[in-house]
Amino acid sequence: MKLGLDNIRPCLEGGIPGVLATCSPDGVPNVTLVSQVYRADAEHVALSFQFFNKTRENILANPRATVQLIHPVTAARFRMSLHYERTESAGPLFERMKAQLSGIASHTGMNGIFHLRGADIYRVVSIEALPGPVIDQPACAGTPVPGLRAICQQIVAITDLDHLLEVLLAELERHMDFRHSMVLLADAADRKLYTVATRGFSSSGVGAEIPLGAGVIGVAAEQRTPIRVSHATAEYAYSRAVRDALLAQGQVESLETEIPFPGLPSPRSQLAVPIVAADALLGVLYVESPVDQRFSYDDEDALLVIASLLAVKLPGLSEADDDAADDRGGAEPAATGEDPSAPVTVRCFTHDHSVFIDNDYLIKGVAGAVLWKLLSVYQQDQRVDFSNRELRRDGSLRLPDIVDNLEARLILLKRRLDERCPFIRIEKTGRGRFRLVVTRRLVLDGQG
Amino acid sequence: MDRLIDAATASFMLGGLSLNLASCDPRLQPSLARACGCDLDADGGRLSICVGRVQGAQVLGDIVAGAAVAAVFSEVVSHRTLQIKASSAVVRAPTRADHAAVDRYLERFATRLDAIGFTPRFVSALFSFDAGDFMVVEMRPEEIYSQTPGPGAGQRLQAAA
Repeated sequence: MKLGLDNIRPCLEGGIPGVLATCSPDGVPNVTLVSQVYRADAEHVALSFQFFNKTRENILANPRATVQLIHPVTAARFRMSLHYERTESAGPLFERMKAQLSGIASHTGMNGIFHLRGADIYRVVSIEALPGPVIDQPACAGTPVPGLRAICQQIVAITDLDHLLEVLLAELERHMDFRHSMVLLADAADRKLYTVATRGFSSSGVGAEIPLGAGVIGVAAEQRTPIRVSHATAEYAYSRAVRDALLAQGQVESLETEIPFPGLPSPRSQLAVPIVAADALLGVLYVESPVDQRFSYDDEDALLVIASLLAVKLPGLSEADDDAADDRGGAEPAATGEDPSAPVTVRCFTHDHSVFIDNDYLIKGVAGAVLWKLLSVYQQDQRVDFSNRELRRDGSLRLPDIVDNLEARLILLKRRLDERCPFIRIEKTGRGRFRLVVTRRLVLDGQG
Repeated sequence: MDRLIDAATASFMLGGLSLNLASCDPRLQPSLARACGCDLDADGGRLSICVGRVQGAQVLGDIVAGAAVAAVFSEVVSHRTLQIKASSAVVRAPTRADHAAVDRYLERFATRLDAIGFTPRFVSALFSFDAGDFMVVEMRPEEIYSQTPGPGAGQRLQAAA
């Protein structure tokens, strides 16, 4: 069998440095270590261009190169003949390498020394397996494909977004042992992502937001490419990433900063995969781990497959809800379960739709506006049953992205209420319908 | 004549470093092989590098044909790296002393790799085939460069007089 790049992917994880030989037009060889030989696609590898050096001088004059790699588990050795083609200094591949290199730099004490100027792309001319003994791989090191099959079969049958997200994250833990996971959805108008489901964190963090381009998740979303980092990296830590993005953009005033991001304090492995349908970014599926090098190329493949399935399913879920719903929910009177104790003041600041329950922050933005609308109708008409469709059509909400994201915003709102406000609930009553359940007397205070 | 490789550098080079040797063919395709041992004579003027005969067939062939050589020595934890170049080298069969050099090298390299989590079994798998059948590339170092990662990488350290 002719060896291809995908036969030697473990060698391309950056665990053991590669060795690269080039030579000048007058036949003087140069040999150097490279921290990672990166898989660009099935026929190309990329090497980091960090400094102007002899290697660079050589490949610009003579594109032939030879690289030697070691399998980090079996000790099998491989040698590849390469042909330099071009250098990329922006875009998805560049960002993937930059994130990965940042992890390698922190891990090897090279923080601030490694700096990616470009991704040098080489065509793989041939791959040769070198003779010698190899260590057998442990039997447990199987592929994630059976787990992937089980997960896909489960989620493809689900027709409700809330249920789908919950099952997805539970099944990722069950079948792939991904214990810390989240789904974020895109708010295209405000160039940010909001957290809609999480699993395995000390606080759910539902509602927390990340600007596009910030951290591993934000870069994966902005570049629409998977980003995988195999070691802890301060450069891509959430707090720093968001701070940097805020400083750089200076415009993310609508960003949710009251709800803390739910990640691990210092993840040692991170993998973010964009959910993209046609040209539209729908969100990001993200997993992290306190263990170094937790996620492999195979794991990245598996999450990409799941993200592709989500990209097909998510838009359909909202449409199905819309079709199933009546124009209006029923006009039943409000349930009379209100606690007779002192009323609770719900305050909404209309400039950003932030909602406070007795001075405690609940939510803002689209979800805040929706809640305020529901509570206003409830107070005025005693109505408790609503449909997604009527909210979609409600001109008073005047929110640019509500058509795409209403279902997700309702899930977010429901979860925030579950976590923060025991006397206001949203209960699903059918496809595209839900009920507002209020068990205390409310005083609404809208502030301009 | 100043020594190109002083005593401290020699001691570093013989300390069980990751060691690779490169040359190139007339079409300017680089050849490359991992070495399984090395030695320096007392004044640092002659460097011997041991390379498996099968794995190193291309690089040995290129050197025999008269091509220049480059060898890179890298300390796996500190990343301190040196590259040594020579405009030519000879390839010869190993002596008893070369076998002893290979044994010394593998023992020292295994100790260094063990410290970062690679088992003796892994190191043995990596080298046993080459160490069982190797040739020796002997050169007079002409140029030495620092290749420790960072802006100073590639700097020429000292020239032979």
